[in-house]
Amino acid sequence: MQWRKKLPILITLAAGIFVVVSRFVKIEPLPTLSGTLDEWFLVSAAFAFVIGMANLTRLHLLKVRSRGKDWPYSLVLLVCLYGYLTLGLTVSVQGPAYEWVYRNILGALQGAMFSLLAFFTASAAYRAFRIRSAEATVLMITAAVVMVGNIPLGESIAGGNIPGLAQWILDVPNTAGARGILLGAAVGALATSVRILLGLERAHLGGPGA
Amino acid sequence: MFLEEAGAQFLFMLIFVAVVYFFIQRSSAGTHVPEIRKVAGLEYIDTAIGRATEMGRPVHFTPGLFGVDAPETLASFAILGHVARESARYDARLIVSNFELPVLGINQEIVRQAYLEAGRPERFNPLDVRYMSSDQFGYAAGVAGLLHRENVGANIMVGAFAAEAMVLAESGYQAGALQVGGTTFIQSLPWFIVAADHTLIGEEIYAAGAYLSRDPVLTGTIAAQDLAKIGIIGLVILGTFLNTLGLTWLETVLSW
Amino acid sequence: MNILERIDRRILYLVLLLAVAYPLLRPFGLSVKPGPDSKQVFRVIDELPRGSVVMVSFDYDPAAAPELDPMAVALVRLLFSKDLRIITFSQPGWELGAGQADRILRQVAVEKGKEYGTDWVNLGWRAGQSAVILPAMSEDLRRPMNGVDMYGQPLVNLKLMDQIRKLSDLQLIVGIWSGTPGFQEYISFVYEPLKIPLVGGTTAIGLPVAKPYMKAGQLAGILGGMRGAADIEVLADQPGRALTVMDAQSLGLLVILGFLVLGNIGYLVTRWRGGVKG
Repeated sequence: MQWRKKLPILITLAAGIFVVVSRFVKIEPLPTLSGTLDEWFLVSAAFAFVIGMANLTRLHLLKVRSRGKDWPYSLVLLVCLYGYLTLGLTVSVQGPAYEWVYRNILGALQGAMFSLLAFFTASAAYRAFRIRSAEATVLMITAAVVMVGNIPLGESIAGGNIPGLAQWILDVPNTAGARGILLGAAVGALATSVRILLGLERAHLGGPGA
Repeated sequence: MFLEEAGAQFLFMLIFVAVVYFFIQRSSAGTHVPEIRKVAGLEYIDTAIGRATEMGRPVHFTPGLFGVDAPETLASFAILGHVARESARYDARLIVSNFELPVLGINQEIVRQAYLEAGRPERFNPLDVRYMSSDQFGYAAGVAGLLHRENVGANIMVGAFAAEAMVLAESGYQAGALQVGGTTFIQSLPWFIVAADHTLIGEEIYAAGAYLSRDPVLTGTIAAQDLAKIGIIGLVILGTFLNTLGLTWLETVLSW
Repeated sequence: MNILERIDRRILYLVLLLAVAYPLLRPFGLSVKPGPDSKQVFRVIDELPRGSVVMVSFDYDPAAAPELDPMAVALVRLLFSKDLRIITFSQPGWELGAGQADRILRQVAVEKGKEYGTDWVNLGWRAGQSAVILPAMSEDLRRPMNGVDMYGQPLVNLKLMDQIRKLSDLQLIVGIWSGTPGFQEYISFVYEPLKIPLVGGTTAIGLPVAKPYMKAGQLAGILGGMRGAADIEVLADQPGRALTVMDAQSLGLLVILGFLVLGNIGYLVTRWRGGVKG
């Protein structure tokens, strides 16, 4: 293997072992060095923002210039991106103008997207929850019980038994399933980390999957 | 000096690494390692890319919201590598939407490499591996729009997803794309299950690198992973049994 | 094809919108009976001695604010009315959470006559990784915050911070979590090594994920979404926004259930007519 390929793996291995050891061993300078490593990570991530902005700007400028499909949206994006950046740099992020945009535009837009979940969940549930098979029926009944059990009306339906049943579903079958997935995923994550530290999985270095 | 009550954690980690190493040695020496069972979701990725190509529609990939420090993102790299190679082979257009900037750089490299290997370096368009937004719902809005505008034929979503998974999966469905979702995030799995055609549940995404590459050494590590899981299941059963009898020594040992 | 099986999604969206909007304009005031998990959270807070210092972690941003703000307000009101003192913090990644904390604490502090610096302090937000920051805060609270609060004031000038040098000086951590980093980071890096009790709330979709940790005793109590907030408002006898929103949530969920039933009636009719096999 050439050094060009070996070096990133060696750096990964060294940094990985260092972070793992500093998690368990609390002798100076390990905790301080671990903090420094975190700061390096922050600085390199901050530089990456420049790359991201360049990527966005190039993509959308090209679209605006060539009057590609839906180009006015690209123009809106560029105006917002650079407008908000200028605002933050000129009037400071603590200033009222920045705050106003944050509360009345950013907050409202984010909240609106989050609320889309209710609509999308409704249409997906309407489509998927058909009593086609035993499993689909169980899925639908469980969803219905948990939904009814969670609302004040649920207490007045079926003599108050539904909230108890909903609680049981969340406490017992849900917890059991969630634990299984969590444990499996944690072991999987550990195995992936070991593979990366040993240089077996190199997809992140731009090489093939293995 | 040593983090309190973490001795058992440290020991478990060492044992695990030793088991993985043992299996790597075994498979390198050519000793038989168990095969990985068929994972329908991973098989379906190829079908989806094939169908999108037939329809002349692009393939879309999202690695989710997290950065290179999340194991889910690391797992997504291996899957993107495969998706990119398949797309390059079929000469399909591949669009990758990124949330995290360091991930953007890595994904550009992965896709570039795949087109290069397929002998079509000129077909790689760096602007198709794009940065979308580092805001959860800004990202979701961007991807939802893209899925409709670009008339995406196959939508592969593997990585770390939270609530925005519903927006991505339902938009993909509405755009008529064939979809595969995969994550370890329990709160996002239901969205993928109802809106995508196939779902990779939990650790299946970590097995993808080995599964798709068919590399015996990588497959060996999956066997080690399963052995560790059997060990954990054994501990859970033993712990439940002992606790029921009122014996707490296992608990004491594990919190050492 | 049966019409009930293929209702246009735009009709569904419109009906759902009306069902949610109407009760917000004209609430019917359905009564809420707190569930066992919410009672548990209330009990943990209620049993703390007066004057104890609690950290409230605002780990959410404006996207989840419509769902989590009422919970944060209800919890901060409860903490202040029990004469507990509050330090707020937001984990790395939730830079907008510090702003949420600022707005909510200011509002409730005025209501309850609490003063900044003696009754509450906003540490703000710190960039980086929770895996590094939280263990560092366990050793020394000031260093990771560079010695200043959210507004740039030196922490040494704030009276409340005299007694609180590190995380283990706190009596309780209350989190309002909408994702990652969230309670899992507090469990791994604070609860497990220091055993400081941990309670809090998540969005409704985060609740199933938090359950296993609560059953394992790592979370002393957990609230789920708007319902959890409404429960706290009832238990603390301080009605607020969550209780009015419960009407909208009830009607919205009933509409979704109604559509599920309609879809299945349509499906059964088609099957009965022999339109669909299986």
